[in-house]
Amino acid sequence: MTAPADLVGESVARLCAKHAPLALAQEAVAGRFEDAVWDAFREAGLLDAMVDDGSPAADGVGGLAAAVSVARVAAHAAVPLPIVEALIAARLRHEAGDDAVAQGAHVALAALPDAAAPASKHGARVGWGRHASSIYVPVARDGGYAVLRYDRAAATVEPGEDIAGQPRDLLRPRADAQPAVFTTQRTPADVLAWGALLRAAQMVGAMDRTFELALEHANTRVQFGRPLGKFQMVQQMLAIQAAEIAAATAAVDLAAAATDQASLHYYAAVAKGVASAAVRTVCDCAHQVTGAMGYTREFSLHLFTRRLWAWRDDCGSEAHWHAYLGRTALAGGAAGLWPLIVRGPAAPVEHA
Amino acid sequence: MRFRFEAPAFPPAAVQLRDAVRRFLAEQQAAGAYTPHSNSWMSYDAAFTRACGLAGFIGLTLPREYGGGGRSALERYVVYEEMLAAGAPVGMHWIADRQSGPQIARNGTDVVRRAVLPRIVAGQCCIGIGMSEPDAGSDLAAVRTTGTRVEGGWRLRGTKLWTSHAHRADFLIVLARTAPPQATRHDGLSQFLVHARARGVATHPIRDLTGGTDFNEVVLDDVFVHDDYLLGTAGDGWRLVTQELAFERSGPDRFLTTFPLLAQMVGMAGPAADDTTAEALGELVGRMTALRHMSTAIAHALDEGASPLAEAAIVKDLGSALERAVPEVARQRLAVRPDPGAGARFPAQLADAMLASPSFTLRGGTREILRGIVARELGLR
Repeated sequence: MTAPADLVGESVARLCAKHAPLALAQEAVAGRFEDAVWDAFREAGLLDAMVDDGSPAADGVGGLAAAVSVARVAAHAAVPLPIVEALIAARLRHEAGDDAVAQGAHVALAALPDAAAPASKHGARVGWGRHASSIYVPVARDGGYAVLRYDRAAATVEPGEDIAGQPRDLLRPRADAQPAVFTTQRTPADVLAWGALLRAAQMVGAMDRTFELALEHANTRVQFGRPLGKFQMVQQMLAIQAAEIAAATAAVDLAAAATDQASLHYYAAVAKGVASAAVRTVCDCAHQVTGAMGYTREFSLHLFTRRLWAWRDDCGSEAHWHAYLGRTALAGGAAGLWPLIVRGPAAPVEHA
Repeated sequence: MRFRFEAPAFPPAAVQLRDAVRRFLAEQQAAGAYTPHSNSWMSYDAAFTRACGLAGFIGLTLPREYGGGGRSALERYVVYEEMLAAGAPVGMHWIADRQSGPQIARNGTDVVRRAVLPRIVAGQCCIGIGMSEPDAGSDLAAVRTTGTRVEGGWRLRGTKLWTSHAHRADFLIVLARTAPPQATRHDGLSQFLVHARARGVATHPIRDLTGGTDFNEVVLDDVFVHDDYLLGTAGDGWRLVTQELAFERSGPDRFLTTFPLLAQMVGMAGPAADDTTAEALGELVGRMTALRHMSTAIAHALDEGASPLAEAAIVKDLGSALERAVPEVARQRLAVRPDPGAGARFPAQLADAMLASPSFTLRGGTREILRGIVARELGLR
């Protein structure tokens, strides 16, 4: 990861320490929108982290590394806000040249494509959708692509939540809804890849915290006359977790460094596949180590493990992305496999 | 997270090198020099190793004054991974190139460097590792082989076990106790370079479960080693061994062992494969992509002078598990039954890989030992 992205991560960490301590996530009423934290992120420019600097060399992937840092560090602090939906909305708005939107308290969110239930005229699931001022939806349209901007008032909201208790609302456009239409090169598959990468980044942040909580518990909880961490079996469980998290982190870093769209799709698939697959091991080990204490609402572990169980199914589960990687490899044949692993695909493979 | 794998940028020279290795491998295959196969870094083939030496593909990181390439670990990495991906039989020089050569370059006397390094580079030298013993496996500091000071050198006595290629090696690197333990058991150990055919060295092959005899018992019966062949200083052996392990545990040989099988599986399944098969193959491909990135990051860290032991342990732990998963997917998703009687065809290669697979998570440090290293880095031990 580049140094500028690390600096972004540091400023997010400082902001979270000041405005979003763990107690806030712990005490937050599920689904309540924390305006003060949101304003702090917005005023620091962090929600615009993914807006491309526009340099031709970036080939549409500029801003990714910074956005990955924001998503990861915010998730490490369990910030209860739709950070990724906002990062991607800002990028889509910028690319669309949509400057008609009011600033200030405006909450712009993206409808992230869902591999299992794609957006349609019947509506889309939008994380934290009930709190949006406007929603950006990437669609295929008239043989090309467009981004639609809906005002929230133009849609009905059917409230829902994910397994972590975070809003996941079904928004249905009203019959008379008139979205603003922006034609674009940006495809729903591109946005899915962004969503997958940024969710994977959040998952790495949450897995890091999950691990830290388990490690701290192992060092302090005494049974049979010694800290749990002195038992070899517990040491091995923590080492297994650390290895899985290291692989997911490396995969996210690799994707964040993608230099073109074709490789971004491939490496985002690797990142989301590896991260989603790691969740089972990481959460399982963390809960075993923390025992009944980790199973309570009082202990903060659930803020991270529940989000991980939700996020692994967002923007394509490991099953989805492994199949995508498999299709990509199969298209290249036996001789194409090694070049694929070394430098990614020559061209993006269509989603099924 | 405390374990970071910084992405290296491959220098332009590495790109040219990759093309050169691919051309070399294509020529060798076209000439019938070898058939691609799994676990190829254990395959001893003197003619192929000699060809690699002549082509300049051995000892890339060794100093130029001893015939080496004077290149970076990243460039060496490119050669390694291309050789393994192509299933080439690099077993004769693998250990010398991976760890013994660099060890000698760092800690050998000038006499030893001049005597050995040019031969490694030329592809005319095989080195075996004399670390494990009958009563010292994972617990390496328990070695009982002794080195006793005599005039002009040392006398070694003891038994080494699991030494790959010892029966055809030119040298062995032997870890021996040269002084009683002091503050810790790690004190008082020393490493020696021993002529494999010196008086007093007796090698007995051990048949492994595949039926092969790659590894051996080596009995050292009062073997004289000249002073010049002590590596580093007496008593510094544990540090030398530990340093070697970051090289031994992080390379592409720790996740590409069964890559030749995987490539064939992709070809056999074809674009019409069902979703379940695509998913199973895709998981392997994704993990391999991530592991390769981690492994190159370690090569880069080695170039920077770091010795990332815990990161190397993680790569080996995850990588060897991946190597073992490949034949399982072949069985379950492609419904291939391992068949030792299938000549050189896929079912026979699958049988070889199945039988060799227990060794993947044992050799070079068991997965439990590796996790212990990670736990130590986490402050748990």
